[in-house]
Amino acid sequence: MLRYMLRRILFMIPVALLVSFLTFMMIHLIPGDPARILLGEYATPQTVAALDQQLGLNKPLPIQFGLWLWQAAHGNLGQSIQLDQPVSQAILQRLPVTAELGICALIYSLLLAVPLGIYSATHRNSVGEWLANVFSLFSTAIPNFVLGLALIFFFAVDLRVFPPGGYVPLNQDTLANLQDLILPMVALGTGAVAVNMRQIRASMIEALGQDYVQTARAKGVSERRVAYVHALKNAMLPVLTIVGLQVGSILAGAFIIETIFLWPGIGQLTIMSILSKDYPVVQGVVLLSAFSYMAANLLIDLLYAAIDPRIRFDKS
Amino acid sequence: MMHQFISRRVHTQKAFISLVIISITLVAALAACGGASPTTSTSSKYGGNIKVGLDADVTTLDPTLSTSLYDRQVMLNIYDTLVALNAQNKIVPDLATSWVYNTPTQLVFTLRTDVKFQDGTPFNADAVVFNINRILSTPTSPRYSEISSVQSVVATDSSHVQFTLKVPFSPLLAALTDRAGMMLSPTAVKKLGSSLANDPVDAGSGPFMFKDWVKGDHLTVVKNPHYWQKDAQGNALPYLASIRYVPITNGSVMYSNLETGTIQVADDLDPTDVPSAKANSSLVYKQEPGLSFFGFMLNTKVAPLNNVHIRRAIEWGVNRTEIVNTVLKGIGVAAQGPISPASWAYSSSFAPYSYNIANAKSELALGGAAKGITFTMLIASGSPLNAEEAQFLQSELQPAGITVNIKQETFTALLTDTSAFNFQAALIGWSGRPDPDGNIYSWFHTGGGFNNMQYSNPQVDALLAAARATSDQTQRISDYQQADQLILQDAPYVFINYGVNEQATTTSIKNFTLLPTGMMEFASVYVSS
Repeated sequence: MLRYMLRRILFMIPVALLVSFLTFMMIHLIPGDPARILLGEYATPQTVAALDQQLGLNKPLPIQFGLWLWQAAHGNLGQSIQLDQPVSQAILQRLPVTAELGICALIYSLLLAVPLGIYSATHRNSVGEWLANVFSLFSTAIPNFVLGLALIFFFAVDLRVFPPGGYVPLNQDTLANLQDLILPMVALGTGAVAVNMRQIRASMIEALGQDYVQTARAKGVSERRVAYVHALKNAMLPVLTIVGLQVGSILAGAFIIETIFLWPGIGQLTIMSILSKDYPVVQGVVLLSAFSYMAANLLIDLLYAAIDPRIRFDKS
Repeated sequence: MMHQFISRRVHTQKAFISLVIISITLVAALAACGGASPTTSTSSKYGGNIKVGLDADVTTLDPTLSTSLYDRQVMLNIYDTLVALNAQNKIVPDLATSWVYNTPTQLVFTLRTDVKFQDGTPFNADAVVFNINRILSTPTSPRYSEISSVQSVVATDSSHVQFTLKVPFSPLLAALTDRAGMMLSPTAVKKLGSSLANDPVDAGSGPFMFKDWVKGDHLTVVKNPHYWQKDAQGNALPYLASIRYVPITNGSVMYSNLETGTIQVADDLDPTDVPSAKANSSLVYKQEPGLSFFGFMLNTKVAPLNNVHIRRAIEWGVNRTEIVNTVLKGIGVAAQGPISPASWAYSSSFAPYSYNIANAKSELALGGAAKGITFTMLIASGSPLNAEEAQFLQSELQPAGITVNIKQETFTALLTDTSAFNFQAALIGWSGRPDPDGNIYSWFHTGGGFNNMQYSNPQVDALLAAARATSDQTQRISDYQQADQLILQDAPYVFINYGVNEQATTTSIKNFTLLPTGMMEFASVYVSS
C-alpha cells in the first residue's frame, strides 16, 4: 500500500508540471498586457514598459516560466499583480468558501442520487423510476449557470425565500450562511445528481443480480437489507470513481456559480484574475486544482481497498 | 452492464418518502428564516446601512494611481476635492471656498479653515501643496498629465494656496474636481506608505471613512462623525451609517439583487433590464445625458479612409437613431460631435449627418469609389452590445456599397493596435470629462494622446489651443463649437451616441442626485421606508 501511494504521489509531479506549462502558455497566448490593464486604458507606452520590467513581464516566456517553476518548487507561488498580496495568501483566504460550496454540492448530489438510484434500480418500469429518469435527464441537460439564474429568478426574485447572492462566513452567522448556501449548492450539485444516480442505478442492478444477493434472499433476508447492506456496498465502487472525477467538474462549475451568486471563493478569484491577466494567480489556482483533483482520485483509489477487500494494490 | 428487468417493491419507498419530507422541511425552515432583507428604515434621516452594486471591483484607493471609474465612485465619498461639480456640471466650492486668476498663469484658492482630516490633523494650504506635489513628483501617475500645466504650488498662508502655471490652462479647475483635486491627510499618507492603496484608514476628510475591503467581495465605508458639511437646515452630514460596495459583474445578477432589495443602488443596468426597472414600482430609474461619447475611429492615413469624401460617405450611411433605439434600447442620445448635451459648450444647431444612402453614394463617387469600398473595423470582444452594434453598422452601410468586415479583439489588444495606428476603423468610445477640453483636445488636436485617427487640421489645432488659453467661457464656447463643426466636416471619428447616466435605486433611497459625471455621492442620501 505504501509503495503504491509513493508511486502515485511521484506520478503527480510530471502531471502538475505539464498542467502548469500548458496553463502558462495558454494564458500568455491571450493578447493583452497585464501592465496595460493595471495602468488603465490610456497609459503611455513608457509607463507600460516600466511596469512590465518591474513585474518581470519583459523577460522571454521560457525564462518567466522557469523562474515561476523554481519559486513554486520552493513553495512560493509568487505575488499577485492585481491584489498586491502573495498568491498563496489570496488562495488560502478564498479556499474555505469554495470548499464549503464544493463539498456541500457533492454531499447534496449524493444525498439525492443514492436513494433515487436505489429506488430506480429496485422499482424498474414504475412511475417513480420514470419520474427519476425525467429528473435525471433534466439535470444533465440544463447548464449550471442557467439553473443558477433560474433559481435566482424563482426563489429570490419571485418568491423572496432565499437571497439572490452573497456570502456570510459560517463562523459569523450560521443561519445566514446556510441561506446563502442553498441556491448555489443546488445549482452546482444538480448536474452531478444525474450522473451519480445513473451510475448507482446501473451498479445496483448489476449487484442485485449477483449470486450472493440471491443467496441472501434465499436465506430470508429482507429486501431492504439486501439492497442497502448487501448490494449497495458493492455497487458503490464504480460510484466512487465517478465521485472522484466529479471533484474536477464541481471545481470547474464553482467558477461560474461563484460569479453568479457572488461567492468570494477561488472560482471568482480565478475569473477576476483571467480577466485582468493576473498570471501568477491563475497559475497558482490551476496548480492547486490539479493537485486537488489528483489527490481526490488517489484517495478514492485507496478507498477501493477499504470497501472491497479483494483489491490489494501492492500485489498487482 | 447487466440489464435484468426486475421489479421489486421494497421498503426503499418509505425511505425515499422520508428523505423527501426531511428535505422539504429543511428547505421550508431555512426559507422561513430567510425572507427578503428589508432596508433599515427609521423616521429619522440618520442611520441606515446600504449596499451599492458596482459593475467591477475597485482596483486602488490611492487617487494618484487610479485609472478606473469604480475607484473614483468610492474615493469621492472618502476624499473631498478642492472644487466640485454640481448636477448642472458647474464648478462649485468644496474644500476651496473661492478662487481667482490674478494673471492667466496665476490661480489663487481660498481654503476652508474648519476642516479636519479623519486622522484629526487639520486641512490647510500645506496639505494642498503636499497633495499637488505628490502628483507632480510622480510622472508615471495617470494624474500627472491632468495637471502637468502646473509649474509650482505654494502656500501663501494657512488658508491660501497659489498655483503658478507654465501656460494658461483653463481646464485645470475641472481636473481638480476629479482625482487630481482629492486632498489626503499628509500625515496619513506618510504613515500608510504603499498600504494607502488598499487600506486608506483615516486618510480623507470626506463624509465616509474607509473601514474594510475584501477584494472581489466587498468594500465598506462608515460615517465620518466629524464631517464638516451640513445640510440646508444646518444638520450634520452624512445621514447614512455605512455603505457597502459589492462588485457584481453580471448584469442579470445586478438587476435581480436590486429587485430583491439585496442592494439598494446599482451603478449601471443592462439596457435589457431598463424597461423592467422603469415598470417596477419599488424601484426608481432615471437617466440623463452624460459626458461620454461612443462611435468609431477612422484612420485618416490609411486607404481608403484617407479620403475625406469616403469618410463623409460613412457618416451618411450610419443610422444613429436606429442604433440608439434598437441596440441601446433608448439608453443613449444620438450624437454628432465630441461635446455632449451635458456640457456647457454643447450646441444642437450643427448636426450635418442623417441616414441618407443617396448622399453616401454621391460622396463615394466624389471620393472616386463609386463601386463601393471595404474596410475592417476592430471591436472589443466580450461585449454582446459591441457585436450587435457592429452588425447594425455593417447592415446599415451595405446599401451604400460600403462593406464592413468586423474583427473582434480583446480590449487591450484593440488599444494596442489603435495606439500603434495598426487599424482602419475601431469601435471605441470615451468616458467623458467635465471640461470640453477633456473630450476634444487629446482626441482631435494634431498628435493628441488619443488621436489614433492621426487626424490633423491646423484650424482645429488653433481653436483648441485658444480655448485652453482663455478663461472667458463665452469665447471658449465659440472656439469649441467652431472646432466641433470642422471635425464633423473632416469626419475622422463617426459619432453614434452620447452615453447616459442612470439612477437605479430602490424607492427607499432618498435625496440621490444624478451627476453628469455618473458619480454617486452619498453625503446627502438617506434611507426611508
